[in-house]
Amino acid sequence: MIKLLFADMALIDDPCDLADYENLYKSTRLKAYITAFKILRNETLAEEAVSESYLKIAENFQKIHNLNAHKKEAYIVITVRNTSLNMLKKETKIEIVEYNDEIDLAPQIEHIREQRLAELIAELSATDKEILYLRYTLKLGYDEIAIALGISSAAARQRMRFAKKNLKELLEREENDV
Amino acid sequence: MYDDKLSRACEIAFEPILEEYSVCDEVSEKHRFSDAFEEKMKVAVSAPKPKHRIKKLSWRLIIAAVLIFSSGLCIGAARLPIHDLIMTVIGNRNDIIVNNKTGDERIGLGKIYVLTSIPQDYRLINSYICADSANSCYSNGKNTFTFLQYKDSAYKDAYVNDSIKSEYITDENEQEYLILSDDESASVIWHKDGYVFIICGNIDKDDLLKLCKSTKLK
Repeated sequence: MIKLLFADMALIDDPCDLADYENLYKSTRLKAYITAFKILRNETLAEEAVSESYLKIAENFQKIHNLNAHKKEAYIVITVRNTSLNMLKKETKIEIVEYNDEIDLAPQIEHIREQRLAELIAELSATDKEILYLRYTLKLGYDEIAIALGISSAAARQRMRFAKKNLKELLEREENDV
Repeated sequence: MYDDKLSRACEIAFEPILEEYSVCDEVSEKHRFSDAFEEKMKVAVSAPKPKHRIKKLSWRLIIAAVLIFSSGLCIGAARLPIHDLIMTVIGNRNDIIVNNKTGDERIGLGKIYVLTSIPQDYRLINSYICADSANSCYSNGKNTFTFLQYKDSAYKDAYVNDSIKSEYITDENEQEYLILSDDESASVIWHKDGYVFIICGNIDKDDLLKLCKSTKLK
């Protein structure tokens, strides 16, 4: 509730964080622009997507500013890519109904080599890979993922469920093949 | 174990995507962003910096501004000038904006809340109740704290000085509190039952929190 009331509070208060954020912006903005341009194929729209993305990044900065440079970069690419995709499909609004059916991957993952698991994840769609990366590699919560992807928290949960379901299918197929 | 394995596997799997977005034949490494973009991002990324050059108001003054403004709500004729004053003095510095223009025109504060665990050595210095808010100020001669209650429709935005430390805590009843503090003073803000409550003063923040938790309907 308080968060709602203070929704307009300055996104980054700490001067050190602000300096880090500015450096991050300067060092990654070209990559962010390339990411947006590849999707939107329009300079103005790409710049719009980049500026919108950095606002989202500021919103989650407390959570991501301790990540290493590589992970920060990945987070930025995911955020910009989704902001750009959302700009493309702005008119299409799909109502997402929350569905809490947690898919347990542990039994399958336990018996597979890490490299092989990575290969299977690589077979997933970019959308599935991204949400798994945000959740498991960057350890973000659903609210933070929602900000990065420009979707609701319920939609983030739903997207995660689909990603895990798809991964589970690949893992089961792998098990059957073996 | 399972999470760690999945975490590392995701990282490996994501690597090619990162590389894919590193290069684009149509965008050179010396790409020049448009002036409009540069201007927009200058504001977005660096805007708070000029605030450091201005001697900032202490949070006590910010709270005082809230008090002055809420007093303005009580005095119809004075309301607009006081609102304008705050927007001029504080709004320009982007420190605090109190916006009561929410379209909620109900008259009266409705329920009144009181503190039930005020230390014995504190005395009530002043208090008032008006259309959208109530205020009580207590002091023991050395330390002072103020308890404010607003209808949430009357209390919308707050911008705080960036020298103030802020943190959220949640108590055993899932009530969330925002604590703003500096070296000398603290302020606790929470939202409950359609009201925004603030307790601020030059006393320890833990003592302020105890006061917050003692809030009861009068």
